[in-house]
Amino acid sequence: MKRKLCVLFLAIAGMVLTSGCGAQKQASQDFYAMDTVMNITAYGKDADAAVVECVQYINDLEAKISRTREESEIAALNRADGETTVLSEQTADILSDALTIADRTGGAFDPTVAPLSDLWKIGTEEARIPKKKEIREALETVGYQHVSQDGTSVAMQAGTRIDLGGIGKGYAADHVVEILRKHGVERALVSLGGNIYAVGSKEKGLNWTIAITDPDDEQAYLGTLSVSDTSVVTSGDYERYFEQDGKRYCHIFDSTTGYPAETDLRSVTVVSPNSTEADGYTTALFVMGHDKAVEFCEKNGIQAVLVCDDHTIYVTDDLKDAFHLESTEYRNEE
Amino acid sequence: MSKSKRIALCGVLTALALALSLAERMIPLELLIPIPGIKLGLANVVTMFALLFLTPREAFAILFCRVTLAALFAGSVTSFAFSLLGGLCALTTTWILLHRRENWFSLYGISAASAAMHNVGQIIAGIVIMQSVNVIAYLPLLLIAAIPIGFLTGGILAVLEKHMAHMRLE
Amino acid sequence: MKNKLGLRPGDFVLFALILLGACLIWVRFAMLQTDRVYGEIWHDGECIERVALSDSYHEVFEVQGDQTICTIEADGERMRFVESQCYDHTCERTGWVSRVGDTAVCLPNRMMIKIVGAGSGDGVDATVR
Repeated sequence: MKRKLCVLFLAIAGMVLTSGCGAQKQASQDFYAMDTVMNITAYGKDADAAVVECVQYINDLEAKISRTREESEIAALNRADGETTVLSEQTADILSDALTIADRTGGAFDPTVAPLSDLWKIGTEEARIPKKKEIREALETVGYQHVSQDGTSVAMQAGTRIDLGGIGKGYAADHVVEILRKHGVERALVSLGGNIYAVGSKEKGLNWTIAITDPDDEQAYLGTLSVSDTSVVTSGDYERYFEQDGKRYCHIFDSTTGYPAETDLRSVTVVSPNSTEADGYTTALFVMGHDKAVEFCEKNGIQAVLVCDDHTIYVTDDLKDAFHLESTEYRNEE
Repeated sequence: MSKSKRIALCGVLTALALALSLAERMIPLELLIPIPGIKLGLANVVTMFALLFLTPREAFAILFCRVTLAALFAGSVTSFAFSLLGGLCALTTTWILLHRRENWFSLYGISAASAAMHNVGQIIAGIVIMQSVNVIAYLPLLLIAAIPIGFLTGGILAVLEKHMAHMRLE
Repeated sequence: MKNKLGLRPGDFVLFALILLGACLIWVRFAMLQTDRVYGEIWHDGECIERVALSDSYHEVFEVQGDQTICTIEADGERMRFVESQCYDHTCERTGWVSRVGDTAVCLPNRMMIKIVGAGSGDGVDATVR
């Protein structure tokens, strides 16, 4: 009797103790960097250390490429006034990525629009429409052709200013994922502002479900993407903007006109395992507008979801199976 | 037994209970149940001993002194509330069950019930202090734990009872 | 009943009652917990407030952020920033958050509100904004 009871108690105690364990160790951290809130959630034995290293990496990267921090390399480059500047390998690497994407998109993505954003000040209280003359002057300094890079040494036309904010989060995402993998993390969700990197797949091999925000209602989403081992990046006019006389001016600039992009797109989402490219392409496609963007995607094999201002959604062929429309306010473009 | 002897015995028992409740802190129960100040209630054995061989009044006095002193030594107001409410529940249960003992229950059953009620008391204190009913989620675990603990304290008391039969408290 | 320990019938009744109680609470609470929704307030990566949201719940929190005080309202199963005297007011524009996993952020104050609960309501793991 006594032995039986003991066995029973041990069995119950065992059940109690083991239930709840068995799941993989999870580490999750919310933090603020690059003017946005970020979250990294990783699963694995070494997840804690991996996440700490990722946060450290992003903070270090930001200290190098932030345009607003005076001691950063980019700030130094922007002050160089025509002189050649030598950058660290990392900063040179991200700058060359930016210039490559600018070249490939014919300047639709351009890392030199900083003078324009300084002029318009969108996203601050002082946002305004500048005078035509001011825009013309600023435009003279804008253009990725004004930047010549040779390895780590960079020379720019005087007055040209670089802002790597357009691909900084994508670049960070790519490298954070490398760090996670180095630590043996096979499953993670990295969310850096508008950039998401889904590492591996969810438990039981299921795909991750990533929702795309409804440009009209930030709390709702218009559809979902079912993906694994890839990054999903969105740019839209609802992120930062100001309105004047009933017209919305968004924070993405057209480097040819000097005005915020006049586009028939509300948001662009790009799916790619290369988050740096995806980040640059979302901006570029947004500036191009629907027709050019569709053509560009087809020519370069880019997977994208384009949301138009007439509430139609264009999904590239490769993504049709992964995309699921949820909102009744929108319809798929034929 | 003379009055002074009784008081001395109560003092010794309080010291023992105090030692037990301090020793109990070494068990990292909070890892499993994240309620600050939660206890398994090993010191209950002293309360039960006092109820068996002394009077309920003395048992209560010992309980109260033990809880107060433990809180003074290494505890906080919260752990005081947890222990007091838990201890009172256990004491009442033991007292009621001991009355019916001959017919129905052995020391093992009584100990288990007492440990279970001790934990119920703690959870009630938890609900009041943490202002959240969710604390109840931890009760099943504590209730199940009460059975092995009941066997432990019941066993100790059974041994004591056997020896006390040969000994007279005078 | 004869055994070494001298257990009596009533003992088994007691044990059974204890186990029954444990099971009942377990089942009842397991059910309760699945549809429980919590609202959390995070400042700079640390959770400073966590409340259980329910239909009858209403509370207004005033929390000090990096720059100014944020006023956060919890009402039923949703939460929002009512006011933040910072420059961009994005958080106020975000409006109510109510789905599990949803967040609203006040960047200048490094303040975030988050809805958490068992399971991510509609199976969405993350939202790209």
